[in-house]
Amino acid sequence: MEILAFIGSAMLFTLFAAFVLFVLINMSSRLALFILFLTPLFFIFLLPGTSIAFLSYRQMLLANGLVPINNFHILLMLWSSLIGIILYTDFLTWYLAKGAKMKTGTANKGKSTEPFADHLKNASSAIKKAKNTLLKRN
Amino acid sequence: MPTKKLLPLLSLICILLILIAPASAYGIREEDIWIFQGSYELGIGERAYLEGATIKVHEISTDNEPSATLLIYTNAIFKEAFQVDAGLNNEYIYGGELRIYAIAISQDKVFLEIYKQKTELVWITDIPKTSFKIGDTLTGNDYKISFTAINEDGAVIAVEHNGNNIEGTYKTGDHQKLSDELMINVVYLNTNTKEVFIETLRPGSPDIKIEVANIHNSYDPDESIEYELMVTNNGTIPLHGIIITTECDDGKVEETTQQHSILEPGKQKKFQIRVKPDIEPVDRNTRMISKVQGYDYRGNEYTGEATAQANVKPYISIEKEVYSIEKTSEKPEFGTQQYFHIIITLKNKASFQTAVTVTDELHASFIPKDLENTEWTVVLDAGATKTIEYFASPAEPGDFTFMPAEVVWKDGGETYSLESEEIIQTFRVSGSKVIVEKEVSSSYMLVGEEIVINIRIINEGDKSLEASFMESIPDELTYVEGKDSWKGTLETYQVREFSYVVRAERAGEYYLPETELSITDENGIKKNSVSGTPFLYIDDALVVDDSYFEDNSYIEANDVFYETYDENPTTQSQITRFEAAGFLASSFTTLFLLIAIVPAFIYLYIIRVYKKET
Repeated sequence: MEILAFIGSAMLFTLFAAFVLFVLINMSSRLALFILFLTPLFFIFLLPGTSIAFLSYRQMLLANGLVPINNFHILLMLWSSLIGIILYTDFLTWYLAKGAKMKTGTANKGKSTEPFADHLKNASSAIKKAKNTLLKRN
Repeated sequence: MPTKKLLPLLSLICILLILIAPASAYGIREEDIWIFQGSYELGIGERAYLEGATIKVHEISTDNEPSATLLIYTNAIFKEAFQVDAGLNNEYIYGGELRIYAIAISQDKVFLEIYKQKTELVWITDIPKTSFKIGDTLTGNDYKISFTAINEDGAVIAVEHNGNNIEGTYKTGDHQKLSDELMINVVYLNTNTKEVFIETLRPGSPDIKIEVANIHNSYDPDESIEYELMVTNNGTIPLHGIIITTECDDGKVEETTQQHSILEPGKQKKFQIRVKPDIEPVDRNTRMISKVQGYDYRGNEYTGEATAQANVKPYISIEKEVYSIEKTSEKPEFGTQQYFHIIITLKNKASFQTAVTVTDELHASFIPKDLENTEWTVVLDAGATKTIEYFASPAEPGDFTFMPAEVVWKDGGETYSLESEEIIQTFRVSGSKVIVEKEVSSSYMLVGEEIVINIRIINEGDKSLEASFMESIPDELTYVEGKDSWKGTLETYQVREFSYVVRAERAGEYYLPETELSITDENGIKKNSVSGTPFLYIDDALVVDDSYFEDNSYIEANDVFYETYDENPTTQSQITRFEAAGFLASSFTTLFLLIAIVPAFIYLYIIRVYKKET
């Protein structure tokens, strides 16, 4: 039972992480951040008992039983990893764009210098972009 | 005419004679014989008391042939003096009715046998009046009577007795003494019906029965053991020359021998026995053996023996008395309202001085007044009585009994002890006594678990009190609910119970602090009563094996969330969806902010550098 519960939990977390990363790459980093934050909250409101039970399920005990690892801890680890990925992705994107501008020496006055300006497109355009990418691969 | 008057008179005389006839028949049972009165051993001046006469030894002469001069008194009046020796002149008959035989005469004693001429009942019916016809026989113990014939002289009766055949002719009223052991009496002979009525007679015998009367179970060593010896002649003929000899190993008998001349059948004689017991340090049973000796008319000896027994107390005696006294002091102590006055009386009934040690054991809650201990060494003079008095106060109310006091002394190298009589009375001490008990529902608990602390207050005294307490809860525990303080009245014999719930916060071993109850009695006197300190072991929940919880349904019972999965998780945790969502949101925000710190600072730095350059 414990192995089955572990495999089930691992699959759920993997699926969640894959979905967030997909959104990050193909759509927008902000959307990925929202999905990362809202998905657990959505389940908590929808199925509170099951969600709490899932999060509180102890997967393992480390250090001779002194450190219990629950699904909640795994969620926190997943969250911190993905938040880091999203934040540094955005930051590096901004930095690289800024460096290119500095090299050309032309200040793009009509464009915003905000780091997240490129990603202020709506979700529909992101999905459209993703579709095109997928079509190109095919 | 005179003949007419004489006739009824004569007939009256005849009737009277007929009526008297059985009385004259009784005469055959008596014999005019020398009756043995007893054998006596008399010193000079000693007397032999006989029925109606007294013989006294005046002097004993042992010159040539030993002889003695004896004096005779009748009704305490001197009658005659005579001399006897053990030789030829060894018999003397006084007035034809007293025969005195000197058996022997020694240096200081005369041994006498005394007989008295007297008509006395001797014969007792063996076979009562029996009807015989010719040819009838009657068999007794050692004789056989046959009625063989009847002729003009009377009835011919043959008797076979001791191997002799004796035949005789008897008329109405005839009797014959066939031997010293048998007599036949022909009561009536009816010649018409040829019938004869015969009875047989044999000599009777006395029978001694002895009883001890009026003896107490216990005697003081300084008093005489006095009792009565009742000697009864249960036989058929009188008992003569009765001598009673009493012996006692543990005392001195006042009159070792007592005499009595005659005891008729069915009669009883009381002899007073007085014994002075020996003084002993221990109580013991004193036995007195009385031997009774007596004779029938022929000098046959009859004896009997009786043993009397009495307990004689030791020469030291101890008595303890206890009196309960109400406290009247203006400043009464808290608690009890009575104290005790104890009096121990010691007596030495011996004729010598004795040093004794007296110990009086008191109940543990009694405090003797002005005494370090209740042990005294006392010197008791001969015949002295000493009294020890002291007071003792009970420290708590209740019903008390007193133990007997003990006296210990030495006599001849041996140690003896004696206790006073048990005091059966139970003494009640009224007052206030409050007991506080503190208990925990379980001495073992886990961190986060709740336990109940029970406080029980019992007023064991018979006074109502004002009482109050306030619990102090140690840091390891937190108060949850219940009554941890109280103020009110405790009625007589009332029991009050309080309980409150605490939660364990930290693991460890603890003693709960004692509960201190403040009491104020009717007189406004204050006192504190404290409980014990129950032990508590608080264990850490996390190191406990899972199986413990599963087996005991521990989680459900205690509503504590143990981070374990269950099919019905709502029972595990009472967390709501909003709380859970809030927790998740705050976790996410915290993580986000922490991770965003580094890129945020780098971003700000780069912006500043660019601005300077531009």
